[in-house]
Amino acid sequence: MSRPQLDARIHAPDRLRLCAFLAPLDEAEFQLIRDELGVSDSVLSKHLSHLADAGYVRLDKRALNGRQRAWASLTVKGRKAFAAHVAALQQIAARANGKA
Amino acid sequence: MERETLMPEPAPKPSPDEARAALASIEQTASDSCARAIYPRWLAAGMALWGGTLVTLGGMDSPWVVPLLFAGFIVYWLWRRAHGAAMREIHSRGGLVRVAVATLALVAIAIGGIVGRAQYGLAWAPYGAGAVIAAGLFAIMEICYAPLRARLASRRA
Repeated sequence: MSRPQLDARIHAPDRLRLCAFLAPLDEAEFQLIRDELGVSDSVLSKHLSHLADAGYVRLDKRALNGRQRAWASLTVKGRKAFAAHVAALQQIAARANGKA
Repeated sequence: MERETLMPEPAPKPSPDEARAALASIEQTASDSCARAIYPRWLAAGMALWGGTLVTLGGMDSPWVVPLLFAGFIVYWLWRRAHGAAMREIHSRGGLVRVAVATLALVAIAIGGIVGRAQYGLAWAPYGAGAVIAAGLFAIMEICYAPLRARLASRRA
């Protein structure tokens, strides 16, 4: 049986939750993500930039009520990477259950 | 400005317990995300009513079709912006096919309403088509989101 392939760019807890939050959505606004994940602006910016650099997240800036708001969404590459990561985690958990 | 260079991250090797905890965290966060983004029933009913009214007015050659069409899109766009998140409606190729088939069926009913009045003089045809479209749209949205709403309700209970 092959070793499950975990993605180091997704695996950090906050980034994993960020991907899990974005996965069912078309897109989400920066402040909403920040509030839902309970992280600071700078931490969320850092994680979003990290995922955007990997091509996993797309960031769009749009004006609303005269203020710039950032919207984030998972790219096709990001969705595939997240799905593969979840599958790898399930494989690890299932192996442990099999041994138990 | 010099860009910060990120160090390559070591390959993660979680223990089975860590993997289970990560999966539980993913499930919880995804549920929270859905609960936050799922549109309320009043919006689904409003969109269904909007679609039905468009079909009825279209069948009656009303000049209000175009303003109502744009008004609906603007209201939805504003709601989406204010809400901060929107559900992903199509997840797979199968989902795309189902949406395409449903759209074709609804368009056929709308055309039936127009033709029924224009060709056969059936004054009720646009009203009938509008009512069917409104009921159909609402039913489709309810059926699509019923499993998710049930899951979220059981999680809250």
